[in-house]
Amino acid sequence: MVLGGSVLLLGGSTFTIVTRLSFEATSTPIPSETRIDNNFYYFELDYNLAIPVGVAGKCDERFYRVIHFRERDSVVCIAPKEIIEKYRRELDVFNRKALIYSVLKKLNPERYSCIFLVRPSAFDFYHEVVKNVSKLGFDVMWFPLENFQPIVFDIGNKRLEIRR
Amino acid sequence: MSETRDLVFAVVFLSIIVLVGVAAVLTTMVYTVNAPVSLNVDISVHDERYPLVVVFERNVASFWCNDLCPSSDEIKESLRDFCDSFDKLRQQLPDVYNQPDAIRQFVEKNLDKRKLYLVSAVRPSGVKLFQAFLQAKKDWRLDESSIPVPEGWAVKLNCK
Repeated sequence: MVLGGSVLLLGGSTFTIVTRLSFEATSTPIPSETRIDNNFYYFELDYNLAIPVGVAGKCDERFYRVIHFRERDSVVCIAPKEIIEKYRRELDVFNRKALIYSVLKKLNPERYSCIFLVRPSAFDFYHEVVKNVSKLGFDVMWFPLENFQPIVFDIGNKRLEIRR
Repeated sequence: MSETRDLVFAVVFLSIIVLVGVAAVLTTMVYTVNAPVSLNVDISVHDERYPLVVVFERNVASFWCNDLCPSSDEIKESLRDFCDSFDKLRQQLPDVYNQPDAIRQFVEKNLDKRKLYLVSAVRPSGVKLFQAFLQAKKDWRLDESSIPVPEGWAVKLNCK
């Protein structure tokens, strides 16, 4: 983000204060991806927290309650609030030692792409996170989720399922 | 006597400077808190195809029909035709904005994929419609891209 300039003008017996402050972020549109692939590594963004989901259908059980629907060949992953609270510091994207960065260090950017599942509360943080992750050499894609919408991997059809 | 007068003058002058400084800092703080945030979105002509921006906001989809990038007359005409057709559809079907199937059918029929591609700007209030739009066209792939835009942020489109 860039902080715009602030100018203070003093002229004659009267003075004028001109402030021109604005925050600017620059971003490039990227693909919104609903297909699932073994080479996609998912992160959920909620507020300033980046929660490592994992590869499709194998959600990290430290953070997610994982429900398998064998008859539908789908996997539902839900991050309980109390667990996220417990790991808040490790998940905070502003923490240099945040889990997202240690997870990415172990992944090969030539093999894996990062998919961000973005909650409405994280639409602003998304731009900062994507900038950092792109610098590490990963291809990045995203998909928006509504509040409280579960993450559903439809393994049979190789797609993210939109379920309310 | 004159020394006292000079001292008083210096104190008054310094007080004014301090007050101006405090006022400037306070004003800056207020402006910072209420600072408008803008998102510069870099778009480009890609594989000789022109970016057509669609905004998903408050569960309404609207097309950005401005001529943003330098382009040929042929592409300008294609963009104009698309937008004119959407205007006509809107008159026939006033709530087409929030019907993902109708938007998808319209785009499928009217978007010249050789000349145009979609760039979706998605606000939090437009997520539901955007998801439905993506789901509706799951068997219909377009080289498309999208960007999340926080509620309240202004969007500036820059053609690179």
